[in-house]
Amino acid sequence: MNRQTRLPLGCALVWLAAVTGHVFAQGPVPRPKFGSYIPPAASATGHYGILGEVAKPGVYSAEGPEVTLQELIQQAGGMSANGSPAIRLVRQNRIAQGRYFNPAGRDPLLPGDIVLVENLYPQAAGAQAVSIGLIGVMDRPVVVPMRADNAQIGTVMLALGQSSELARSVQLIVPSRQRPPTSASAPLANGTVLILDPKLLVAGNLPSFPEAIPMTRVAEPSMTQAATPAPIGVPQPALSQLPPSIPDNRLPVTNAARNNGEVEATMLPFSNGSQRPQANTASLPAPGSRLQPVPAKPVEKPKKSTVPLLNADSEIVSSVDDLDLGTEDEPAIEAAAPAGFSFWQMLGIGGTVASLVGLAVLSRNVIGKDSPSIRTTMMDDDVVPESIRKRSAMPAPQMLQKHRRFDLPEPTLSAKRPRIQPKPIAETQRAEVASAQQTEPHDLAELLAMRGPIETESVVLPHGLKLRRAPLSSTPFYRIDDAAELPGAPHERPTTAATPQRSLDDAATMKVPAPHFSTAIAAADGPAMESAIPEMTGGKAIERALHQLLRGKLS
Amino acid sequence: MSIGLDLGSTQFRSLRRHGQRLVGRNCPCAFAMIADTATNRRMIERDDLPFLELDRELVLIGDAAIAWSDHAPVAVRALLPDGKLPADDGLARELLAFLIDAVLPPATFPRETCAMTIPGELFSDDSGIERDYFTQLVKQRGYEPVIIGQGMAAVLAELGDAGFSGIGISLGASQCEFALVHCGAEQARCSIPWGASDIADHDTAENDQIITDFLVELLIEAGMRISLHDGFRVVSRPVSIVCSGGLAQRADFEQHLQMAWQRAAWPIPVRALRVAPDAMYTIARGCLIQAKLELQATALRAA
Repeated sequence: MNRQTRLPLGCALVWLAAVTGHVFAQGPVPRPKFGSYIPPAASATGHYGILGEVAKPGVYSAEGPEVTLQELIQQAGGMSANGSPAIRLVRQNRIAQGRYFNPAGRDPLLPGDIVLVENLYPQAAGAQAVSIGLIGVMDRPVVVPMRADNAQIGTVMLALGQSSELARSVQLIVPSRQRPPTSASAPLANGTVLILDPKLLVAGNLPSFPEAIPMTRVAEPSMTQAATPAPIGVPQPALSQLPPSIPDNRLPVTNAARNNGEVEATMLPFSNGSQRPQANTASLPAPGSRLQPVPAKPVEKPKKSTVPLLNADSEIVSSVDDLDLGTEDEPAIEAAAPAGFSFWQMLGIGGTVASLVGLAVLSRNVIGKDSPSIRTTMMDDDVVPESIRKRSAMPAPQMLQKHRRFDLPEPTLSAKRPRIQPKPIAETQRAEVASAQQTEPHDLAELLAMRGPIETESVVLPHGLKLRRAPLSSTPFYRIDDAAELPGAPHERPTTAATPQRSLDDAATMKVPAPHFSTAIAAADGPAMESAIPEMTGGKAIERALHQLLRGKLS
Repeated sequence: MSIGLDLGSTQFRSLRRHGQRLVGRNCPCAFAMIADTATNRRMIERDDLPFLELDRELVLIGDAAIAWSDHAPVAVRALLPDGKLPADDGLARELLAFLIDAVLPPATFPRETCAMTIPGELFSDDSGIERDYFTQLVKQRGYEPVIIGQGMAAVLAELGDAGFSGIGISLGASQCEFALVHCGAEQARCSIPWGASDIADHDTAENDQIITDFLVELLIEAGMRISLHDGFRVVSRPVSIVCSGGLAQRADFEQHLQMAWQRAAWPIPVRALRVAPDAMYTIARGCLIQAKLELQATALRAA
């Protein structure tokens, strides 16, 4: 082995050693693991929170496939006199589609939903007890009753055993008619939901929360009677029995006191008034932080009354030109300017652009009068500028004398221009237009002016038509090889030996072998089987064919 | 010829122009099933009611079902409960096809324009089964369907003197829709799945207060969404508003709306508020105008 062959061999050995060492250093290659995903067993018990203007706010638990909004409100004792029928749902930590409460309706809820029944007249409401919803502290929603003057974010954080700094990460869902709190010491309205981040909570400090109230379902609930809101203006007895005032040194009023001793929820161990913490203004969140509520602020009433007169024809502009919407000078629908970008700044940019354009035009008119782009003659300076010729060491070519003119041919218009042929219109399109023009002119104004009575034609519905279809309450059709509907024989084994077909003439008299998937039916082949399965007259064609197969006869 | 088709949750209506007249067709979207007995057949033949036979029952559709239920204890069922097409009800689909054929005359030429609304559609780009189903039915009648919203149809029908600009409110049976329209083009839409059917079963004595409360809640809900919507947010000048729908057909609707407007805060300055005078065919009329506009655009493109 000479030296020339030894070098590549050595390199190959070194590479092989490096690769082998790298492979061994990595250890055994992990085999792919295959497994079946087993979803966690769904809890059979669902929890539903309800708070706000109901008699018994709290968290209710129910076992069953479906709990409706009407059932939950009925369990909560019905809405109070000031309860708004516009129900808001908090689903998966956000405001879901609102429902308009219909006592006779059926609006299904999902486990974990929180129902907010808002107050129609929040300004007039002087409730001493409020219910606050908490999300994120447990695996289910929590509703706690609180005294109104004690319901503050800082107080709630203290009662939960958490730091007051956690108030920064709290998201609020405030009733739509209430103003969102601007500080940690601002009172929370009845029906406010606090969404906490479970990762930031110190689980060991959390107090014990009230147990969920099991829902009692009745066979025939008198939902309409129980859940119908009380007449407006008539306070409900449960709420009207509240004491007029509550001293500060007393613990907050519990639901037990409000509902004849029935305990629905346990109060959080809030401190009394002397131990009430004061919110530190230095730790208050800045505007725009997450303390701001999730939905937008409730719309404030305009200072100036914008209630227009109904059918105020005089205020409707008479023509499009008089319309403020979309006029040229000040369009009513205009693009929103970015924040902090004033009109004068925009004008400055526009002025700058205008001045640049003006300078360009001026330079073109004054300086570049003989611009090559608009001349039909060309100077030699245009070909090689003077500066370049001075810098170049090469002598200037003789043909490029200064101000030597050579004419360019004048552009001449060709005598025969190619004519632009219009695009051929499709025959169908032409027919459409022609037919449309024949049937009625395009007089939109005339149509708009037609304010006469509309003649109503009678509709012609089919009469005496026979529908061959299953009725509305049709029974579900299952696969015929469904295991639950079949005898135990394996479906691949023929249950009856098929008689070989001898000739075409015998085919009509031969019996079709029994279905291979039905042992019992095949065993009962013959008249007994025919009597066992009645003849099917209705249904679809495929159903009749399958039925005929079951009966073992040709149709 | 073009036609407007208003497919609501409880009523199907069509409107077309015939010379100097406006001709409409209307049919309730409901049916009833009665037993196929000799007595019932004799009564049906006496009143000359159209019926269908289904196994051992008779099916009455539309006005016939309502007329029968007025005299006999027969429940009238909605073909589109909550504006939704029943997915597993083949009979309802077949009856809906009969209703479409009844209110929609055959097209006079291929691909005639038919502007229509879709029941229960919350979004303008909603590709639900309702849109697919009704579009196919309209195409089978020879039309080229053009789908618009109910709020936009209300603006087209009633705010023509305002340049087809403003906000249209459609108070339907299963949903209410607010649409911001500018120069005949829909800029934004806000649909709320609350309908007048939610408040129809209440006692008559409290009905006035309930209707006002419903309107207040509806305006507050819509105001909240409108204040968050980019399309509505750019409105800086007062706009005109028109109300239409089944609830607007009440004689005292203006008073209810006036009271509700005073209680609800509205984020958009309003120039004027109108109630459609002919609320029954307002949406269909707007659809017809939209079909005209589409026809004009087609003619311009072809030229």
